Amino acid sequence: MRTLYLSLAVLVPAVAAAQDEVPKIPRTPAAVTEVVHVQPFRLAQGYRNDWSQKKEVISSGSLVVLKVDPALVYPRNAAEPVLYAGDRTVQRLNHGHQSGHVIGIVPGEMDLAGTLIWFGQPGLPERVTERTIRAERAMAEEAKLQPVSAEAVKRVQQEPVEAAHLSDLLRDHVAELVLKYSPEEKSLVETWRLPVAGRQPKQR
Amino acid sequence: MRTTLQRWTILAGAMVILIGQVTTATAQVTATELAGNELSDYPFFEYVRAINENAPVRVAIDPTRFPDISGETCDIYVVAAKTAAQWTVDPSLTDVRASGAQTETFSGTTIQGNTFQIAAASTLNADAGTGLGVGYDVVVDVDQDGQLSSGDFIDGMGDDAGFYAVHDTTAAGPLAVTETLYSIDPAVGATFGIPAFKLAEDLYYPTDIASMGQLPIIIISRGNGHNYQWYDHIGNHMASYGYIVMSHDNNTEPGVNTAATTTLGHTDAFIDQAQSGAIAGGALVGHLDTSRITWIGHSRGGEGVAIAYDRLFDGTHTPTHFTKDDIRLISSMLPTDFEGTSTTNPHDANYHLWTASGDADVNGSAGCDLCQTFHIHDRATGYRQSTVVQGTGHAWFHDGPEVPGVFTGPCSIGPTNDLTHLIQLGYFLPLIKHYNEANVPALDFLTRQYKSFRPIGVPNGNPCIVVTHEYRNGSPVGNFVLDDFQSQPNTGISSSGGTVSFDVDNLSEDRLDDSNGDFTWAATDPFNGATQASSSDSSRGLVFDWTDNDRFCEWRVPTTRRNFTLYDYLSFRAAQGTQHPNTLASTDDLTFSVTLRDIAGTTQSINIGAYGGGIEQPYDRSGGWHNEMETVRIRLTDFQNNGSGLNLNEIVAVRFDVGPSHGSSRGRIVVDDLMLTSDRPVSATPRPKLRIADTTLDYGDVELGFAFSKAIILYNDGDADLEVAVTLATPAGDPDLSQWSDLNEISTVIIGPGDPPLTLAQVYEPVALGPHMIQMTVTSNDPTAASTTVTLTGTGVTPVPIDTMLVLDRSGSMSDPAGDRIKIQALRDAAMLYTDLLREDVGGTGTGDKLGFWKYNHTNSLYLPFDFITDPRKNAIAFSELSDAALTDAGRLLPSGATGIGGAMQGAAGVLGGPLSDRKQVLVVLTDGKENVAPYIASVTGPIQSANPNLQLYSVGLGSNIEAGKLQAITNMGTEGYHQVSDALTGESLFDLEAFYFKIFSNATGMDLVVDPTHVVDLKGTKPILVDTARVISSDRSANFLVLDDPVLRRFYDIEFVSPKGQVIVPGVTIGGIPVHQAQRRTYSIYRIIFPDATQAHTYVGDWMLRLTPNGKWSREAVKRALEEGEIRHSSFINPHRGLVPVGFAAAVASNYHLAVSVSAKDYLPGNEVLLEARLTDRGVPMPKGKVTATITPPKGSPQRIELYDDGTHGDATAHDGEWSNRFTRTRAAGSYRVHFRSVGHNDRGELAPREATRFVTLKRIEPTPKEDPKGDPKDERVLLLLEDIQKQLKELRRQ
Repeated sequence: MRTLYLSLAVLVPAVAAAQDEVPKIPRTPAAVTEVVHVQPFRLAQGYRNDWSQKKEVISSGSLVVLKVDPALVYPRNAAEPVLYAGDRTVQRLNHGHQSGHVIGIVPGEMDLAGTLIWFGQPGLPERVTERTIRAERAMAEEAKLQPVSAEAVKRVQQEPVEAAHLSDLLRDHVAELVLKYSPEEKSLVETWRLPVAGRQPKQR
Repeated sequence: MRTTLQRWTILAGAMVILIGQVTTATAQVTATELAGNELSDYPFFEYVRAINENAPVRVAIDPTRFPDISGETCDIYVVAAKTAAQWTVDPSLTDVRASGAQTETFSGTTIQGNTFQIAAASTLNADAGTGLGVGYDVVVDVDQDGQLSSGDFIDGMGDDAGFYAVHDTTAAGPLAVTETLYSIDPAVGATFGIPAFKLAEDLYYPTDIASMGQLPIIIISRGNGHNYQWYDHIGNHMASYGYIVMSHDNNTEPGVNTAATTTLGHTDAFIDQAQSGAIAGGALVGHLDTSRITWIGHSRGGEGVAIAYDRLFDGTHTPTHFTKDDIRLISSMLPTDFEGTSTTNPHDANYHLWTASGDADVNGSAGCDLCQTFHIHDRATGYRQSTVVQGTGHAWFHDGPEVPGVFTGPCSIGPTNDLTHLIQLGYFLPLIKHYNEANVPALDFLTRQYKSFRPIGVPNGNPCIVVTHEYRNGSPVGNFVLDDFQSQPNTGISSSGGTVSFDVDNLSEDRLDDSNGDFTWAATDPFNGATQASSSDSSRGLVFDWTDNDRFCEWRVPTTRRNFTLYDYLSFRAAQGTQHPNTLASTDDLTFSVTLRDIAGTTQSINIGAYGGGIEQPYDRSGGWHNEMETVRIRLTDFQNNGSGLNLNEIVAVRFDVGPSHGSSRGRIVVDDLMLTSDRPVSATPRPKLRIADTTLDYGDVELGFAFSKAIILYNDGDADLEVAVTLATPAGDPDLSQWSDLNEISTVIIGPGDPPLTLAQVYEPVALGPHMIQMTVTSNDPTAASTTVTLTGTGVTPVPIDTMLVLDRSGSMSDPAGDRIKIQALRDAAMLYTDLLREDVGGTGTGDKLGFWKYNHTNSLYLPFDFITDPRKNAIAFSELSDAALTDAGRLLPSGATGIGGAMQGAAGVLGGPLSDRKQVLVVLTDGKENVAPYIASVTGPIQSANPNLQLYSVGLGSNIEAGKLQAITNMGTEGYHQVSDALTGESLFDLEAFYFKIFSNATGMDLVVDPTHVVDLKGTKPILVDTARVISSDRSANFLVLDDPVLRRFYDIEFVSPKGQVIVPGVTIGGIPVHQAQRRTYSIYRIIFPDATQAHTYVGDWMLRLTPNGKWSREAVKRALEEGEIRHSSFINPHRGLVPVGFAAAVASNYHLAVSVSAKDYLPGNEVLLEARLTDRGVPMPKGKVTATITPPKGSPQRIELYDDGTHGDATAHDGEWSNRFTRTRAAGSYRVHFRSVGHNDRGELAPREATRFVTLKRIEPTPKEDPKGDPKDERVLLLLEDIQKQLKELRRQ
């Protein structure tokens, strides 16, 4: 498997070079293509969620890997489509425009079976309110986007993980998901695994 | 102890410095700009601070600005820069060049003729280490003594060098750099609000930091989708010049507020951890200068840094390890604007913006408000600058993948990102050094056009490298904004309050915000392409265009801001309007001229392209992308080059001249921030600056009994409060003190920066003859003007007597009638009136007036010997030279012969002689015809005026067969000096000729006319008729009243002249104890009254009346009989059946209250605009309360009445200054226009004070002079007499 990842890493930039175009944002609302990975987590120390205006403290949730249209997640500085799951935003941990896989956190306790996961209109997640979500959801339903089936969730459901805090979760668990599903973004992994100032380097 | 003495005196752009020690002789050195670059067009040279090391260095001196240099052979030195203190201690000169000092001779009158190369390219050392350039001073050693000494010129006298030889700013600095990657401890991160997944930092610092002191810090906040490690090009570059650079991971994905939080958190956490030794093994401990922090952000990170500063500004975030003031600079690269005006706001921070015109992400498009980078720049209120790079994309500003470049558009400069990085690094270094280290040469990179000055490492010759800069100095001091288009939406008024006039096309003023979603040109969207403001922003500007015609837009400078010597540059920003047909018409830079005009009307223009480049065309993306503003700065002293004569102390207007004669034939531009600036640095200390309008108040000669006011006028030209006091320096008891009736002192008052000047009137009212002088002292907190003496001088004099020569026309045509009178009779009566107005030489004291007559036809001769006038002599003249018998005496005034005006003028002027200091000299020329005998007017006027410049020349044209143009050209008294009387001396015009001679006398004696009409009075009744009144005010010191009527008609009425108290003026009457002088002769009565002092104002202030009471004797027979007896025929006016008679009334006063008027026109040709101006003063002080009208009677057509304005419009320069103006444009008809001014104002005491004045202006070509008789002799008199006889016979035949 490691060999396969390296090959992809070489190929993808070549494709991008040939395209040298920033893709247009596809029409929203748009469904995710597939739920690839679902894994509940719990943190001993919560963190503030910046991905909505509410900014609640999160100490549990689900790590998800979603297969998506890469154009929806192409990084932009202007507004990007916002990823929603049910009544909340999904905190994206990578970009996924090269791999087509977005790794994210669905904050809090939520059974994803029967939950609609979709991309709403371009905007900034930090501005999203409950009202925004209701409006976006109504548009998604009107567009007849389908929720994730219980079977699909069940098929990719993983055992829960626990960590002291978010940085540990990223360093030890999410990093592996990145390497597995979006290896082009391994610099993320390197970043999460940097030596910590003032500490002796961690032996791995 | 040796005390250093330095005194600075500002001279328009240069300083004269006394340098040396008080124990030695002081030396005067001129500190001015010398080093720079030659230009191919005016101003032919630009003085600069920075010169790239691979360019030659030149010096130039304009001998018209510094005349002392002309003819001098001097040694030019290039020396290692010294501070002012070092120069004081060591004035020796040591040239750094291998060849040593260079000897040059300065000559001629042009700057280009006095420009010398002093260093070839790459010959001066520019290795400044971590600096930008090596400083040099330039000295022109005039006396060639090898010392900076008296008479020498220096560029670099202060602490800054004269110029800097600058190295390649794109090249790495001399310091080795260490880079290290790490993550902030999550617990520390949480303390400072950094999310646990954004803890990474990438650090760059000089490897040898241990040997260095505290270094400034640069924090880089990445954009969305970017990696914090992609800014290594900036990190390595700046660290190699001595900076600590940290680029951090950034929480941009949720939005820009979270990004701002991350920037704030990382800045604090970095300082916290670096100072604690947690970072880089403790290498940074003790080396962080936390008072000098630069924030750089990219894209969302670029918005984030502005939001972060907004939180510091608003106080919603309080950092632990730094403060708002520690943020020395913010630079946003291609920033978004999600949060808008209230949140994404750098406020007073020193702010810089990068924009990529080919950006495909933050794309700047009209339809995406949050993608418009310029918003943030325009919200910055302090120092701000912007750099736009065409042909580059969003991704080439970082050092990550170059593909995709997130770029769209033509003429790409990537991939790779190398060119973009060269531009970036080459600009970042001076930018950051300027705001963190006050680096001097750095400012040139920020302010000069990229085309003429750019980092050496950016390749030349690539047409796709197009870079534009904006720069606005944000100092609260040292700047004056003429128009920012913010506070004054009226296109006719600038934000500084001056008038704006223009004839450019489609001018509009509004928010700099494209009003629709595209950049396609549409007239309905005048600000098409402007993206400097969103709907919630207020940034406004001006837009206009021109198409193949010369046009202008002109800003009047407020009166208190006319001193441009206080500033270094005129600056504005401008952009071409995208996709407008005029913009697309040419791909060249757009150029035009900037013109300054001073108060004397002197102008000088500079084409903005003279310095290299003009206004760039917008990037050719999709047919034209957003408008790209760039700043144009012109050194103000450049306008004085080559003897322009422009007075920078009194600039009244700044003007843009556009069109084919001035640059681009057509164009469409947006303009903003028209201002004067001095490049004051961030840390500039406000200081007061006292300017005294005049330190000598010279009242000149003031007649006893009169008062004249002058004022000590104090300005604050500085930027801090000026404390000022004015006290009398002359000790009490000095007899001269009593000559001033009103002296105004003042204890300490404060004049704020920009406040109107403080005006303290001082009234000189001499009571004794001779010169008088007192002094007052102005003290202030201006350290350069702690105490200044103001001297007040004047001389008390008796009324100045007049010497007059009347030149009388007795040519044949003077026997013709002019209305109801024969011309020669009318002239005789007018001359007699003038004679009677003259003041008697009492007792042979020599203080009276003198008079003589010179008569002419084809010959000319003295007619009345020039001598003092006395009452007996007046009577003798009436019975001799001006008697009825004289008019029929061929040896005296019998009309005959031709017209030789010039010879008569020569003769009369010769009698008056040269200029006299104690007497006025007046020559009055009357003619009714066209000159036909040499010498001619054109050949004698100049010599007469040259021989006696004080001679007041008046001319009177009688009738219509005259040469008005010539007569107007004779006078040197402006339009006061020429009068034209029509042929129709009848009815209301019957006494026009007498009235004119009355006006001439009044004008020559400095009297003002109060009233001068001739009325028609109906005698068919018995009740008293108020013919007219003349208002006298307490400011009036004496008056002449003139009553004119026909002697033979006096049998039908009683006429009375009545004082305001109702007292009928008859012989023996006194006013305030002073007798009234009366004289009556033929058609007129004169009343001369000297008023008592103002304490008896009640005896004379008010309306003086002319009252007429019919006596009921009017009958057909009586009238017929009277007319037969009289000289005046009244053939066309007096009708026995209707009872109308003409009565003239005029009054002139010698007064402290004055109406001064002028009528002027360009070239005095038909069709030209005539400017009418009036000024009301009391004791010399403007009296702005009042109203002025003018009635203009054209040569053809009916009179037109217009109002004059004192509101800054209609040609009025300054509102409410007591000067009124208006323009008269209906001047198509050639000929003489009579302009009758009427003012109703108030004197200083608030008394209502009407005044009148009449002027004539002739708009026609000056008539050609007949071919000169080479001998200069009159033509054969017999021939002329024969011609005259033939003419008379023809007339007789016609009559029959």
